[in-house]
Amino acid sequence: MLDVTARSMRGRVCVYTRNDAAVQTPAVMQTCRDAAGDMHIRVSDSGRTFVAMGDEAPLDQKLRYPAVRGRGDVTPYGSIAVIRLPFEEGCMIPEGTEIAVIANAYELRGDPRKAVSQISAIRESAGNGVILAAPGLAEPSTLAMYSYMGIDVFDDSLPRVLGAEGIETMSEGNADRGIDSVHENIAEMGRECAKVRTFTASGRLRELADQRAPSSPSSVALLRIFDDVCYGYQEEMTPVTGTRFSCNTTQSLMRPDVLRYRKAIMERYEKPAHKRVLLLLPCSARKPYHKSKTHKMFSSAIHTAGHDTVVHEVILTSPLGMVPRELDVFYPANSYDIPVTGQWKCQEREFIRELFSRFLSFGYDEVVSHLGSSHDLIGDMADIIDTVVDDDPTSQASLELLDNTLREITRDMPSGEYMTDRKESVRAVLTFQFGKSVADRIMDEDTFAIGKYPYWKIMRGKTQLGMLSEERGMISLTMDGAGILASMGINVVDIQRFDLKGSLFAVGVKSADHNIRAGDEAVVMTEGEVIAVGVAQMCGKEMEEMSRGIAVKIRHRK
Amino acid sequence: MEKRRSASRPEAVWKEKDLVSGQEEDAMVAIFRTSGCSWAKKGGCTMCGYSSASLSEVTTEDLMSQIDEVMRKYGGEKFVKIYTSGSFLDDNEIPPEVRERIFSEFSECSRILFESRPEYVTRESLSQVPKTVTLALGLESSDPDVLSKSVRKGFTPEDSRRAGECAKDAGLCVRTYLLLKPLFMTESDAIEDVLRSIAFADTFSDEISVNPVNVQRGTYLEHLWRRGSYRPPWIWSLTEVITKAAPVTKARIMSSPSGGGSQRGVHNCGACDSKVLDAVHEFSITQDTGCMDVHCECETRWRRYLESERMLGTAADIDRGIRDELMLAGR
Repeated sequence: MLDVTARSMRGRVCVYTRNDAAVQTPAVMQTCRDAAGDMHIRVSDSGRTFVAMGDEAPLDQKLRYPAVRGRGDVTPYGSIAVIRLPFEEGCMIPEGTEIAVIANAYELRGDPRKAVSQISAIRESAGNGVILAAPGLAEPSTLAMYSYMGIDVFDDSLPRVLGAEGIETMSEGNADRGIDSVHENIAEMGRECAKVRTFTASGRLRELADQRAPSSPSSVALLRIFDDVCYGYQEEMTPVTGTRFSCNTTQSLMRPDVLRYRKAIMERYEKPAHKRVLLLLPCSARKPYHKSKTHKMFSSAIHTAGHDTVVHEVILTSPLGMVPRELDVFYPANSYDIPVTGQWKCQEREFIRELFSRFLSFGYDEVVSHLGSSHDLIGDMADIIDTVVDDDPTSQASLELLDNTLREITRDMPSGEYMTDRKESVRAVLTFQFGKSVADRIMDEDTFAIGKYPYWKIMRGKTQLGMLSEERGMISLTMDGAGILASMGINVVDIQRFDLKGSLFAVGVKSADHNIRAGDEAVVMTEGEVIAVGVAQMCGKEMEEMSRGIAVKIRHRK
Repeated sequence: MEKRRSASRPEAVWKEKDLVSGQEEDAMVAIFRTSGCSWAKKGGCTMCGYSSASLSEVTTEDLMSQIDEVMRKYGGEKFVKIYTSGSFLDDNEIPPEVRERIFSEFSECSRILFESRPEYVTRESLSQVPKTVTLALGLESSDPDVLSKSVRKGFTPEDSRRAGECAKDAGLCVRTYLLLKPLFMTESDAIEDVLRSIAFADTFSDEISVNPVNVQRGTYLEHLWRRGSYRPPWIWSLTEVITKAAPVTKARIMSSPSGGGSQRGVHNCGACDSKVLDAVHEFSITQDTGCMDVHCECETRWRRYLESERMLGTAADIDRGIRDELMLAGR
């Protein structure tokens, strides 16, 4: 029986119960001749035996084909499946498997491309209801990364072997000490595993993986390749809300949540139709930006006349590229940290320019830059009015210039209605969150928005459909709003007919929209009727796979 | 340097020492160029690179002139070993008239050795050979899976047993070759496999030659070795096999490894390799396990290696796997 108690993208903390004993993962099994523990690997002259709460499965065959050779197999021993790599097309994890053990996982070490493709393929095939064990694979410097890639259970065989060779394995890298380091290595493996659990429970395992990757060239390659070829695999398990995190390494610019945001802006987002002036602003350390001192100063310069409704404030930043003001309470815009030094990496320059050109394609009458030094990143891409004096966007002179410039260029533009401004801005938010078809269906002729950003309420006559809030970081729907999603078959979780009290548990889910991500709005239906709406606690696929755990935290019910 | 290869000249001829009736005698080795091993033409064995010693077109006249050259170099050695890189009893490789000439040329020899795959060993084919012949059989392993999947030999251990018994019935000597550490086997499994194979071969063999696998060019084995998925055996594994098997085996046990002491062949730490290989050679002649009493610091490394393979469940080259990386010098 598997309980997932915490998730951080593909990484997770689980409690696995079998034969009345429980193991918490990520775990490090003992592998030796007198191994002990609820889960361990016993070594003997005739090969290794995996032991899980008294149940056994032999891991080794007489002939050990290398992981690169096209002759892998999966052998079931009750609910334990023993995998010999390569795991290729046609390989299947049998129905009823609780633990899958990759017997020759050691051979993935030093072959990052193979490691990435094999681990993701096995996890995809096994689903999330299976504990994945990879003995021989990890050492302290790689445990966090393999956990981040989806391995649940590790062992101490590699640290032992390296220790016996006089190599001390540390989470930051290995050192050739020339003296037996087995005990040090086992202890370090345990400490690293505890750290992985802590980071996972905080929802910040990616940052630990980012930190560990530079410990060796092959580890850097591992994370780089994983980000490159497994975006979809990662994204599926990446929540759309989250805690504060930092992007301190180059590779962290490719985090799945950050990449998903940039993709959504590139592919889905559309500017509010009535906005005619694109105003570029620098980011602030304080999130959401509109709460920061600098942005409050900008605001006082922008919102001084009726023209503010046609000005589209967009924040230029890394790693997100461009953040329109109306989305600044969304994750990850509300959560990221990054060192700001005025130096930009070529990747940052590249995606900022790409996103800026996307905004230019929306068609604004004027582009105003109040960026300061980062203006150089995009200054050559359009006719841009620069309103910063002496490289200080918050100086009195700069703010006055910004105010005057906006007044000047909007003089002949019709000053917009605040009602239109809010309605179109909400439409843009809905488009970002649910897609254009949902946004247009919700914001029909009879629907409008009220309130002060970010607390915009969506009203259809006297009926509230939803509300944007800073705390939630997106639009939350009422039952009426949920009905609109349900009518379009979007974010629907279909359940057996039963009396839904409290949260919806995964065991009750019949089917769920695979586009649902943890943190998303989820519409609970039974027999074609909307019975509740709430926040998904796992992705749609997981809701179908798991037999335990909360699938949806209910906000409103019928 | 690429030698021009001619079908009318033998691949190589050299002199060495070997045993005849328990006595060390002068021996001549002659390697003929033939049209090649019938099995190699169907893909061959995973570790075999000898197809390069064969040519597609070798006529009877070519073989006759190869014999002429061999005879010019022959100095009356009592022991003659004839290798074809295939099967001496395969009529397609060595036509009967060539075989007859060879036997008559060496009719004064005390001992003639040649090799054959078992499918060419029949009562009929053996009725044509003199009683001085020793038939060498490449059993390689008594384990059918090892033979078919790892070596890809194309026949079964039982085929070799039948051929061996057939030769014994014909009054011939049998030398059986065994492989130490074919592909996909851990060092410790390989040791066990050879020990079982020695017991199997002992019933029909006068001599058992243990051949540690060496990495030959152009083989599948070489491909895997290059990417770190294979390590040739340690010499300690060979000495372990010899010392364990010798007291319980009737047949003579011998080993003269190709490429011993090199990265491509059976090797230890590098410091002790020639010393230990000398001991193996000494034993092959004397059959006295006492001469195997050689030691080196790297014996503990070898034992650790066996245990590391068991812990990690791999037959890959662990030393290369863990030393190939950059690490801090902590000493």
